[in-house]
Parts: sequence; structure tokens; C-alpha cells
Amino acid sequence: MIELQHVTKRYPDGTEAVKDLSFTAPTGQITALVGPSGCGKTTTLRMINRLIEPTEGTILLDGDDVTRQDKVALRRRIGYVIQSAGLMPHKRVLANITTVPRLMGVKKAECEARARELLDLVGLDQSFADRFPAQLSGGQSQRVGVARALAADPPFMLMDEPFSAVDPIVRQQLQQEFLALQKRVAKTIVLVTHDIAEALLLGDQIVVLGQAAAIEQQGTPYELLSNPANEFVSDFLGRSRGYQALGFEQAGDLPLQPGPVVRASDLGRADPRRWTLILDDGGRPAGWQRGTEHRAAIAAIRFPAESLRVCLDSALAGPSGLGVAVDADGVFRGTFRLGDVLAQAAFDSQPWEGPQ
Amino acid sequence: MSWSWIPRHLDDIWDLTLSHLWLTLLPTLIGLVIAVPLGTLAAYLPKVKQIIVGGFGMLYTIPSLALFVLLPGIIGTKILDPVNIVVALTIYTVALLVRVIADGLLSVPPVTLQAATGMGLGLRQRFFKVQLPLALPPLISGLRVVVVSNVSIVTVAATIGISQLGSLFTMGFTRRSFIPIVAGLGACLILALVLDLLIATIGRRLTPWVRAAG
Ligand SMILES: Nc1ncnc2c1ncn2[C@@H]1O[C@H](COP(=O)(O)OP(=O)(O)OP(=O)(O)O)[C@@H](O)[C@H]1O
Ligand SMILES: [Mg+2]
Repeated sequence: MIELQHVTKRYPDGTEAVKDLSFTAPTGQITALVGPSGCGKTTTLRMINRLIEPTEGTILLDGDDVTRQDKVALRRRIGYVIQSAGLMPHKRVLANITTVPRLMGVKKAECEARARELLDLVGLDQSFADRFPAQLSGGQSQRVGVARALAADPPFMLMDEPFSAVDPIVRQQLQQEFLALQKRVAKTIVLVTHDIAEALLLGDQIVVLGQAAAIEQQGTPYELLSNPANEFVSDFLGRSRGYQALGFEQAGDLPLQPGPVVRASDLGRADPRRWTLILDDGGRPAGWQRGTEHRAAIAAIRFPAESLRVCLDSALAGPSGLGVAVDADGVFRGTFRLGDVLAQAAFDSQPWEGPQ
Repeated sequence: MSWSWIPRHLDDIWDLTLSHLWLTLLPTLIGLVIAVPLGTLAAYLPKVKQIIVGGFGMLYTIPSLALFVLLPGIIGTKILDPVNIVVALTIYTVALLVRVIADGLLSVPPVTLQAATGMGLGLRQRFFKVQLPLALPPLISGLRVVVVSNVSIVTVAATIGISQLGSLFTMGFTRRSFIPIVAGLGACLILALVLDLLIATIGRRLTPWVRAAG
């Protein structure tokens, strides 16, 4: 867990880049910091690994104040991934990846074996091991950057616009792979982006920042989309190309899931802790149920849907971020996740600087 | 004096070449050892850089012959002592390399340095494992210039009686024959070429990433 408590950063020239910022990045989850250019995202991130010292406030890593720890030791517990990777140009890929574990005294053979595993993990062929960074494409460099950050198996990761230097197709691929990777490694991650679509796609939690890193809203992608706190947030969401693109894309290949669903007659079998869709005798959706709570509104859409936009509306209307798909007769076909709608949308999105 | 003078004196020319070689290499190496810390200091402290680069720059403008003659008075050596040559050439070497090293260290992209710090390299580790290696390509180019220029400056020492390939020039003048001069010139050229090639080869070995980028 990473906690920021009333953190302020004033640069020597008087610029107040971050003002009284507090938030918590929960263990094993991705917290996405999103906001317009110059709002203090990078400053916030660099205060966590002490590349920048806060003027006021406290930052805790699993409860320990970072300012009480040795900087170098602290940074080795925190993987750091930056835009355009920041690889060491004079070291081959394998040496780049093994840098930190080698410094920590792990044997060379052991480091290299682990580095080769990491190459697999980030989807790079072993033949890249002996290349220099100048011989890699942007996307390949970024993969090596992620592998390097994971090499010492740190519990925390800080990522500053990790995928912004690559073209949209490669970016979408990297984002998807990164999500799959995070499922396996479950690091506590703070990720900075000014691309709202990326934040919606990758963040378990999103912190929307305004001027001087003032929190405009904090919540899950579902909470943000279904209930934007103010005009700044809805503007940020709405004017994003990613969100607009939702209207254009055909929804044909959105993956459907069979549940969670239960016949009205079998209501007793439903998991009382989880929102479950109830079907009437004709197999048509009749409402959502969780324990004794009931929601009649369903906003089921006919599948294949005419646009991602209606899929998004359906997912947002449901109480748990699940959309409902029916056939032409209104019979239940399956549910789909908000995340999958966003993933589809992110493919078409361009990073956008946000309201200025 | 005929051309056969050269084959008959190959042994002498070889001896002169060897003393020329060490009169060139010794100050180059000592200069390098001094220039690395000075250049580092200059890179990190702009004020110091002005003083060091400016000061050595001025020393560089002193003609070599004048320096050879003046040095004994300053450092208390005999006028014919080869130490004078070594000290003078060391000064030239440092003058050239300090600037090259300072600029080389400063040319390392800040992003790379910040990434290294962010990964958890200490200041010393960052310097020796990242910044210095990345400053090697300009340092090697600088070293090649220095070695070649030192080979030629050493010849001037013949005028104050220290024997090396330059002695063939003075011999040519006193005996009114260009044959020893041609021999000396040829040997100097070959020596300079060989040293230059050697440093370039070692440099390429040390900086494999440069070729990879091409
Ligand atoms: N060293 C510095 N001295 C003075 N002001 C600075 C310094 N570094 C950053 N700033 C200012 O602090 C503010 C926040 O900068 P920061 O780099 O954190 O923004 P950001 O949110 O990461 O922006 P971007 O999305 O463009 O990367 C900006 O107004 C910037 O100009
Ligand atoms: Mg930034």
C-alpha cells in the first residue's frame, strides 16, 4: 500500500506543482493518476521514490515513511518505468534487465536466468537478449523497460506514461499484455497518464487530478463513468477521443459471458453477496438481485449491438458494471464487462491533453 | 650521405623510436589519469570548469619550445632532463582532455541518468557504471587527437638535446642531408598511425553499442 498524506511540493522558483494531495494506492492494484498536462502527475510520482523531496506532507510505503529510508534501498523496492523506457544505451538488453539484482549481489547466472524468464513474460523473443537498446523498436524498448522494473521483484511499481511513446496499435497490445501480466504479478502500482482511456482501461482505481494535483474525483472506472463528480471530470471523460470513439466501433466481437444469472424460480440459489441477473420464464432479463436488494432497470441491448456506445450505457446502467445482451426476441444471450467495452474503445483512442 | 644510410642505421632509428614512444605514451597516460578527476570536477562545478578549462587553455597556447626551456626554472629540473618533456606534454594532454571529459560527461542524456537514479543506483555506481562509460566515445576521439599531437610535439625536444626521432631532424640539418629527416618523418608518421589505430581499436572494443546504433 502506498499512502500520500497532505503532500505539497513547491519548487524553488515558487511553482506549486502539488498542493495538499492525499490518496491511497491499495496493495496489488493499479492506481491510475490522470489529469491534464502540467497538473503535477510526474512530480507526485517522483516524490514516492524520492527523486523529488516533498515540501510538506508524508508518504508511506506499507506504513513506513519514505523519508526515513535510505534512498537507494527504497528505490530498489520500487520498479520504475518511464516514457521511452530510459534504457541504458551502452548495455545489452540482458544487462539492462539484470542491473538492479546484480547491484544487490545476486549471482550473475541466477540474474540472467530470471531475466530470460522476464523476456518471455513481457513477450520478447530470447534473441533480443544480446541486442543494444538502439536496436529495438519503441514497443520492444518499453517491454524491456517493464522487464527491468520487475527484475528485482519489487512489491511496488511506478509508471510514468509507460505506453505513450508508441503508436496506438502497439499501445493497445502493450496495455492488454500489461493487464495480463499484472494479474500474475499483482504489484502495487501507481500509473501516470494523461490519456483517460488508458486510465479507464488499466486502473482498478482512478484519481482524476486538476490544477496543482487537486483531486477532482477518485473511484473505480465504473464510478467515474456512471457518476462523474463535476464538470471537470465529465468534460475530461466526455471530450476524450477514447470516449467519443465508443460511438463508432461495431460491437460484434465483444466477448459475452454466460452469467451471473439465475431463473426467477431458482432465486434462492443466487449468491447473496453478488449482483445476479434474474431471468423470467421466457428467459428474458427481469432485474438485478443481490441479497434482498433489487434493481428493475436493466438497459439490455440487442446483440450484436449497433455501437460500443450503447454497450457502455448498458454496462453503466447495471449495478456492477456488467452489461446485458439479448437477442431479437429479448431472450438473454450473455453479459459483458465494462472493462471489455473500454478495452475495445481504447484501441481507437488517441491520448488527449484534457481540459486546460 | 646516401639512401643506404637508412638500412645501416635501422638499429639507431629503432632505439630513437622507442624513446619517442615512451616520451609520448608516458605523458599521455599521466595526463589521462589527471584529466579524468579534473574533468569530472569541471563537469559538476561550472565555476571550476571555467577556471580549469580556461587555465589549461592558456597553458596550451605557450609554445612547446618555450615550455621546455621554462620548466626547469619552475620545477627545478636540469635543462636536459627528459622529465621536462614529460611534464610539458602532460600539461598539454590535460588541457585537451579536461574539456573533452567534462563535455562528454555532460552530454549523457539527463533522462538516462534519472532513470539510473530511479532504479536505485547510488551516485558512485551511476558515475562509474553509466555516466563514465557513456562519455567514452568522445574521450577516445580526444585521446586519439592527443596521442598524434604528442608524437609530433616530442620531436621539438631534440632542439634541447633529448634524443628521440626529432634528433634525426637536427642531424639532417647539421649534416646538410635530408635523408635522416625523411627517415625521422617516416618513423614519426608510422608511430602516430600505429598509436592512433591502437587506441581506435581498443576504443571500439570498449564501446560496442556505438556500432550497434549505426
Ligand atoms: N524543476 C522544476 N522547477 C519548477 N517548476 C517545475 C519543475 N518541474 C516541474 N515544474 C512545474 O510543475 C508543474 C507540474 O509538473 P509535472 O511534470 O509534475 O506535470 P505533469 O502532470 O507530469 O505533466 P505532463 O502530463 O505534461 O507530463 C508544471 O507546471 C511544471 O512546469
Ligand atoms: Mg509528466
